Amino acid sequence: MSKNIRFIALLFIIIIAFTGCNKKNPPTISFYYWRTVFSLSEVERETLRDIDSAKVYLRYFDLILPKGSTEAIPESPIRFKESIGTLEIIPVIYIKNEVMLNEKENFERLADRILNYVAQINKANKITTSEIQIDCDWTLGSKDNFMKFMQILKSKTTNILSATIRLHQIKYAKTTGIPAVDYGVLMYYNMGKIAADDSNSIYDQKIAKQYLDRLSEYPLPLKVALPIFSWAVQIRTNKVVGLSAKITQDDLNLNDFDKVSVNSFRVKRSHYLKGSSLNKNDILKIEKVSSNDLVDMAADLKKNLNHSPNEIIFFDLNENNLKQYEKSIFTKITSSF
Amino acid sequence: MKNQFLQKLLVLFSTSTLLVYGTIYACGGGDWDWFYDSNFAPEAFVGSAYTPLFLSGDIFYDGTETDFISRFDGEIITDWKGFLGDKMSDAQIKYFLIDSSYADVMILKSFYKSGKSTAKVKRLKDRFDISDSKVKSFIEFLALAKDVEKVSVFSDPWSYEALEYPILKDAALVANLKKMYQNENDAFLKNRYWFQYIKSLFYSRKYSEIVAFFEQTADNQPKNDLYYRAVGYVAGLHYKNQEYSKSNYLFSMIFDENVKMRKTALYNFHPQDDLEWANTLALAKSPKEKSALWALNGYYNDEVLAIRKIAELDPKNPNLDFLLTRVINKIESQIDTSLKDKSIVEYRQSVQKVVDPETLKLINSIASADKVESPYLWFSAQGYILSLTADFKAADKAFAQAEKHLPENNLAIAQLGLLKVVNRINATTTIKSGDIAQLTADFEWLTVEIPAQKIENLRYEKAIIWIKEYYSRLYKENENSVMAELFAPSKDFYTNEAEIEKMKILFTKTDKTKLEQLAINQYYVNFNDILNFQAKTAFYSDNVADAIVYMKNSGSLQNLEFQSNPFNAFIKDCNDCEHQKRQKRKFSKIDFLNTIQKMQLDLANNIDSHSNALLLGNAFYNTTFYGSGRAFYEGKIFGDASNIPAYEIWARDYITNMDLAKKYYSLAFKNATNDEQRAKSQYMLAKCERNEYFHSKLKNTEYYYFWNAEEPNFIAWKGFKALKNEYRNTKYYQEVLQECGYFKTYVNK
Repeated sequence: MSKNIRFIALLFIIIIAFTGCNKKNPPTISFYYWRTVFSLSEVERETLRDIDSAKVYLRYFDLILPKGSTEAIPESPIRFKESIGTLEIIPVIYIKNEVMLNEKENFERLADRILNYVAQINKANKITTSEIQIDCDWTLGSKDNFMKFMQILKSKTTNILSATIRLHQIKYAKTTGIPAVDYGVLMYYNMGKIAADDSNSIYDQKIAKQYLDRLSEYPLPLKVALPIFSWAVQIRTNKVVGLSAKITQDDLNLNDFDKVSVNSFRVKRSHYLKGSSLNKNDILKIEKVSSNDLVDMAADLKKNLNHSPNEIIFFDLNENNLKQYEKSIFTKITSSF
Repeated sequence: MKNQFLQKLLVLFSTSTLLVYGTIYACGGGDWDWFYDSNFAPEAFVGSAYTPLFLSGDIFYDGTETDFISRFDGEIITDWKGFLGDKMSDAQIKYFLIDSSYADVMILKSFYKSGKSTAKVKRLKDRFDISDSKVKSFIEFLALAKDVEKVSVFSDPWSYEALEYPILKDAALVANLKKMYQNENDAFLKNRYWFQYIKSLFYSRKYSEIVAFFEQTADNQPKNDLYYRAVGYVAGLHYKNQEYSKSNYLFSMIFDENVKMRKTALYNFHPQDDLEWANTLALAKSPKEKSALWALNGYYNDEVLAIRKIAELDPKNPNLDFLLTRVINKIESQIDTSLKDKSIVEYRQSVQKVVDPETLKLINSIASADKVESPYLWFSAQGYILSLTADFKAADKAFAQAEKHLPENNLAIAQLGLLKVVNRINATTTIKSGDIAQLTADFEWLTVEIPAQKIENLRYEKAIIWIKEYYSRLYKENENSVMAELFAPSKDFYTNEAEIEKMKILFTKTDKTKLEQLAINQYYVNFNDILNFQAKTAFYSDNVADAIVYMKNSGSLQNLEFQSNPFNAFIKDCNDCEHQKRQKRKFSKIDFLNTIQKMQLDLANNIDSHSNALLLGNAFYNTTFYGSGRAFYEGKIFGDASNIPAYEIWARDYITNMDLAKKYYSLAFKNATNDEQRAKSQYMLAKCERNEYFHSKLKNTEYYYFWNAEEPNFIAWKGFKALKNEYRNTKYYQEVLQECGYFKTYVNK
């Protein structure tokens, strides 16, 4: 296996070497859209317009294995409240690892079903697509099935096939395997545990650096996905009991919260907030990624990638996230690659 | 269970972060196992209608809802049976209501309309009286209801179209249902049409009409499943209109009144902020309705506050009970019951801290007011909490009260027994002051009798682990290290010779106390295992004579066989390949030791010195982790694993130590008579060096399996150098060159 990979890597480096010199343009900007109903707010629309971004990686559906079943089924497929207009859409399918751990799954049939389901969604909503992205945090236990499945899927479609790649899959590529795809998207976030301590599970430069040195050896072409989301981790007696993407630091007024550290707040009285029920003495830890963090990420990645990525995908297109940053952040980040 | 809890978090709190939940899953950690952290089974106290509400790591204790289409089937059939009496058989009623009966319904419908009988009509007529007025009403109802069902039920998960929220476009059908409702005189049928009309409005998207119609007519309807299903539509519509207070209020009503929809209501109850919560409470008309709201609030938020409120509003409200079980289970989940690193006194203090005095006060006051519906639960809970706060006598009194109301079932009886045992043990601070007879009886009851009874839902596993650790700690504080070990084995007990001898004395003593015998029975090794272990450690100290004596006394363990010949060694180490080779002679452990003893004797007497030394080197090589004879050390005390980090540190020291193999390979080299023999001895020494090199590099790293690519895979070991420089002309050199890539690379450098 390693010989082939080396060969592919070499080939790729050669291709880059020949095409790279003409390419002065910064990477293009695109977004993941991860809600279950497609409907853009004015702020979201404006962001796309301002940065001239026309490409959205749209979560089409999750693939799950219902309890007690041997056949995977789609869950929460995307619905459209409005037309996609002129946007270019890349369907993304999130496959839960349980699907790939299922020894009884018929992966030929599953690949057919997935392609057919994507086609159904496209037809019903008048969308034309030419690529499919698979998002699956496969493990050593599911590796063989996942690799087999990706090969089957690849053999059944003329579409471009891509896959999200997590940092540990870069570092331990030999052990975790490399899917048969046209390119990967490096998910440069979710680096740590969601924990009751003062860590940030979304991004930690120190943790990131442990993985960066292997980036240049990874044999697939890579696009990069960067985080712009945040969430509040709800902690009770040192245990994580909840997670809310709706609560941001702006929501934590000092009548109801005591600030206990830069990003942690103690609940003063039991109450409801944006659909979360907070107990007195719970701690809310806000985990987010600052503009400076994004700049650091770009710099670290640039140093360690063999070539500049041609596209940066931000996760995710959501008004609540966009509001946390200056409008210029996206071009600022991509121009530093 | 762990994973599902996080699924719950995300379902409840967010839909926008799904890309990442794989990671969250993977990092869930071990925090969610409420069940195994408990001595208090809610099932012992609260009826099954409240089971979903028990504390769990999942959104519902008994799993998420899946049965959306068929959950009312049983009741629907029973209802129609009541209406139809004996006019149709049970199977026929079920067929028409639930199965694919659409065609037959339509045949009868057109027959009723036209009066023309066909062959198909006749076929049905033969089975039941189709002209009976009740049968006719039934079929006429179905003819309309099944058309509504066409849009309300879909089942192909891989059809995107089918998942599009279906719209009922048949306005005539809706109008017809309304007319039937208005004109029907039979109360049963009128109620059915009432619901079908609402359902048809829902699937026609005529939402505002539903609310208006419901408000006009709801008071006249029986409070049955259909009623609460209709309330569900209305509650959902309020939610859609962002009228959360109204929505939450109606869901709380469903929650309180309809067991089948309890989970649905619980799942949809979702106050957004405090103002809305206050508005919701204001909508509740009675103490019962207010209590239902507080119960939901308690489920999601603060059980103690909810209990306080409900006890004031409606002291006999059944919701109090499930809330109390959650309070207890939550307290339990915060207790660190491990006594490994705590004294009895420290343990007691740490447990006391967990109970909020206000919670205790509240439970005391409610239990003693004697107003609750379930005194068995309240007194048991009170006793348990008192025990946790070290008020053991008061706990006893509470348990005595609970006993007066004890339900006559095994679960309840065992549950109270368990709490009493826990209380008695909690009250024991030293082994000397303890009542040994009672401690023995409690240990036997909990660890022998209770598991044998196999009582469903009883939570006793944690108590078994705890009682052993507790007794171990009591004995440890009494400086009885052997009993302490028997109750809670330590990692390195068997590294201490004196302790091993003490353990053997206890095992062989003839006048054991009952507690000693019980502890020995439940200990993870028996006497033979200990001798077998001693045989191995003697062997690894090159004391084969002692090893033979221990091995001979270790019963059948001495006869366990090696999977391959332990005296053979090859250029490549491949355990599986060696195990597959045909063996002329199978070596048991005792054969192996006897053979070694003979070879050592011969070596000492200079008989076949090279080959004896080489075979001994192979034997000591194979009995390390790297050789093909791991079976030698594998056993209860050493353990058995395919990776080194899974072994205790002391065991790793034995099984990775290459000294004895090197000693004998060096002797083989020294006694070699030709270069072939010398070449082989040097290569075998190189293998030993290689193992030492890998182990020294990896033993302190976190990722044992991931070799840092910047490190070389191999170095020029002494054996390699010798082989290359001195024995280049041997046949063995060529064989190594063929088979060993490292060596080949080294030579070609």
